[in-house]
Amino acid sequence: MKNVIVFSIGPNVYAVELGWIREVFTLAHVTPVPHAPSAIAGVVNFRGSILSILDIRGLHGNVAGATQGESALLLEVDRCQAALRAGTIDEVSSLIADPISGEFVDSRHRPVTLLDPPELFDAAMNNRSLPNQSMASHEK
Amino acid sequence: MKNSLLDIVLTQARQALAALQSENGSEADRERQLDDLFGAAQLVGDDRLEDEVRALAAMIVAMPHDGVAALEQFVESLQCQLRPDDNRAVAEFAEDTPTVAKPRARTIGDSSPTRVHRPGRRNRSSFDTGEHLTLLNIFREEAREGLERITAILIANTGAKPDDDQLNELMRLTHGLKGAAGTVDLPQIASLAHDYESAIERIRVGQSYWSLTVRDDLVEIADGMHLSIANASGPEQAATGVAGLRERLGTIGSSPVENASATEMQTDEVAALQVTETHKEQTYSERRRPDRRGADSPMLRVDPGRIDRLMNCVGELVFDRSRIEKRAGKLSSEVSLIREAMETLAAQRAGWVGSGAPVRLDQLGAALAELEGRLSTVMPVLEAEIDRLSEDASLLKRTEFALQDGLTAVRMQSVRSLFSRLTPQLRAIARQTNKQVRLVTAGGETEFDKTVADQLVDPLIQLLRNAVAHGIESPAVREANGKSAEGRIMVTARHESNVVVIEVSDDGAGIRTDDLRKRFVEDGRWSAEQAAQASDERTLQMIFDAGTSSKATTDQLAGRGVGLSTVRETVTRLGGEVLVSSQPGQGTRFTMRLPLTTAVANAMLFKIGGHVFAISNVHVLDQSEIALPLHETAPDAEGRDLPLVPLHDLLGFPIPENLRRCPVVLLEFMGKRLAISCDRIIGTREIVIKNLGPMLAGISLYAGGTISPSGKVQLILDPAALVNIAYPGPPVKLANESAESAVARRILVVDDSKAIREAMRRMLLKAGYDVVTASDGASAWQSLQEQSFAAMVTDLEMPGEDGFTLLSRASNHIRQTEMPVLVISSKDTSENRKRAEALGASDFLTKPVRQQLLIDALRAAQRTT
Repeated sequence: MKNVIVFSIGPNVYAVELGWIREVFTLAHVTPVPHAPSAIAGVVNFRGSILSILDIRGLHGNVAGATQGESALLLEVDRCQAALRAGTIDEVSSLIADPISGEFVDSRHRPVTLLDPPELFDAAMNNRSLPNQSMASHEK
Repeated sequence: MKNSLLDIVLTQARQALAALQSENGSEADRERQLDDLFGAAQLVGDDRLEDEVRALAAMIVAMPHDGVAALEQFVESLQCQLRPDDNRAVAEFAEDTPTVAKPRARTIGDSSPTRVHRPGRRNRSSFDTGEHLTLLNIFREEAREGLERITAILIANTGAKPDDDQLNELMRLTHGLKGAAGTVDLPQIASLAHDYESAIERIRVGQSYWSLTVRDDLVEIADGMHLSIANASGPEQAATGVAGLRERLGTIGSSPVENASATEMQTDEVAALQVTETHKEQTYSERRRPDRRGADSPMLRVDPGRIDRLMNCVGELVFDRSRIEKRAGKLSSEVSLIREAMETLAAQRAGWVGSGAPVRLDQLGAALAELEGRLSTVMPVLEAEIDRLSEDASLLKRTEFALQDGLTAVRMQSVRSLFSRLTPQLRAIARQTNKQVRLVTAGGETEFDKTVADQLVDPLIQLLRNAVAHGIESPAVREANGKSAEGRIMVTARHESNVVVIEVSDDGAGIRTDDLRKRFVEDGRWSAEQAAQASDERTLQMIFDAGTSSKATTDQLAGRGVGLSTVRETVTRLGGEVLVSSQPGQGTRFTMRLPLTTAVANAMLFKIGGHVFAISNVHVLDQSEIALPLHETAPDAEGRDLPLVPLHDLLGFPIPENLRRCPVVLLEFMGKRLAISCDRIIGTREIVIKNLGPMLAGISLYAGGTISPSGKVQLILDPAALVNIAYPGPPVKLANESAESAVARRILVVDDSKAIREAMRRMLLKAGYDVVTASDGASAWQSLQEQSFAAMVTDLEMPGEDGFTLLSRASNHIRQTEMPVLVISSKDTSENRKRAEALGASDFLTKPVRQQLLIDALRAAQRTT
């Protein structure tokens, strides 16, 4: 059982374990950064410091994006901070692995992709895509 | 005669020292003493002495702690010069003092502290032992090479006078030595090198005469200098024999015949000095003047430890440079191989063409095969060198960051001086309002960037004005409400993670949000419905908007409704935020949260694709407009064509359709000029430069970001990247590609003896590794968690957490990361070996360890894991 924040972007449901999350906040004005790694939707002013915004879609080969007013999670990995676009926050809950498929489902029994922040950060910084089972149809 | 003048200098220097060291001397007295000392030094008519004293005075002003130490030393060396008896005593003392001077003999296998201070004295060196030792080692090696070269040149002509080129090289070498000695905190060696340089100079211009004896003297003195350098361990230590060597240098090449001309020259010098004396005095007092302004002076008082860290970075830079130079050498030798192959080929081809006969295919094939063979041996070397070069670049980048951090630390200042400026202001405000107010401050020791502190003066005064004008009630009202007649305003500062929080609170009437709602409706800003819906919190924060004043009447002090909006603007521009909270009847509190540091720069702002971008104004030459469509060049003011970097294309924004002529900014960076296109030029602004964070660190296009007054992030373009685009050269690998190889070379060295740590560090650095050190198991464990290492080299016996404890604590980590671990111990017992092996150690070496053995063992361990 894992304590997580569940959020959804479009039809896709994701979760991040609470331990990685420093804060949940609403995005202020997003400044796009031309030539940034594809997972980075832009930068945002967060209490006077500049945060990169990661968009999970960018890691799956789509165009990353984020808009003012959306929710975001402030993640911290190895003292490196970045915002993860979280679309709409659904709930804070405990994920249970489906006894049959072994995959995680949320309280509404929707399949959930559990994200691993160190892997996200690593992929974003090195500008590589992440394979994703639950989103195979979205991959190029 | 000269000696009696020097006596005056000595007396004056002692007095100045006494004034500086005394607890209760006034600032003015100290300054007067320094001025007198400078005057006395001028009397002597010795340029060098004058320079030395000037440098001393400047140092005392800038870094009182080190400056006083330097002055103390100056007194000592002057004493040596004047009283040979004292001199001998010092020399003997120095010989008795064990120093790091013989590190090769005693560092390894000896864990006692190597640095011994003179009894009864504090350590006044700018470096801590390890740092200093490292730098000293670098310097010693440099000096050895330099002195060897000097000797070689001196004896090159078998007794004949060196020619001009040789003399120039000698001057250059001694000059370099002087600079390096100064850098590593060895002023005595520096002055010795200076004298050596002057002696050569005298020979060069013919003031001193050249003979076999002179040559032998110079060689001997060079050897003596070598010895002194080997024995020198710090500025507070009188290096062996320096005074004697300096004395010999002073008289070198002056035979009785030559003496006469030398005296003549001296008089000339004195005359020349007198002409320039007044000028010198002027510049000196000009330089000192800013400090006389007292509390408001723009001088930074800096903790010497912070300067040390910068010096440390300089040491790193020396390493980085020498590594890069080595690579350049290697590359050029490979290039010569390619050239050779090319020449062979060209010769063959010329032969074929010349003979007129048709070339046989097998001939051609053989020639190509040979070329291929040669190239295939060169290629891997070139590739490897390119890899290492980019690693070096990333190391340089790290040093650069450290330097930046160090400079930032230098700028840090406590807020006490900021607070001290508030009291008189508050007193004036209170007088004008006939209110009784007391200012209470707390947290004055909190430190933050001086630039931020300076910019906060106005906002803080504005908040004080507000507090007095709107917050604090008149004494009569206060007493009627059961409060003390005297109002209280508190200004506090504290650190909260990476921000400074400054609060201004008063115990006045507070702000009634209902009054605010009413007014917002009255002035049409809100509808009645909006006002009813708005929370108290939201209503309260509205007071930062322009045009809001909580007081019905405008007065001289506050209430014009502009004050708070400027406060917020300033704070936002500095990258912070300001909030207000209030309890009606009890008071109001303004909370400012500000970044610890900021780097403020003048920037040119321009708009493109609806976004604002900035570029450092230092690099902006001019701005103009050019006709569309864009070409590859744009003309500057003189009509010369500059390469144009079309930012629209580069940043992926379309050129607006309604744009008639395209604005361009003309830049110059590293001597190269270019133009960039944009939609609209906004103008120059002062901006606060911020880091874009680790995720975007790899993009060279941006130098950082800044936050606009409205809170949006704006990107700052890096002129270096634009120059690279405008002037495409050979592609250079990006530094961040070598991040992994940086890890592959990083070694953690754990040993409680600093000397051994440093010795191993040096060994590993020489072998191209990158070293992090730890002095016991606990700090090693911390380092292991913070970063990855290619290998760990650890001692077993250590105070606190020993090697075995470290190994068992880290055994999981070692297994998971497959990190090789070398154990180095003087207790080479089979029991220890077994125990270490069981805990995951790859190899066991016995102290003392020689460089080759260590490197071989490390490479072997890295191969097996």
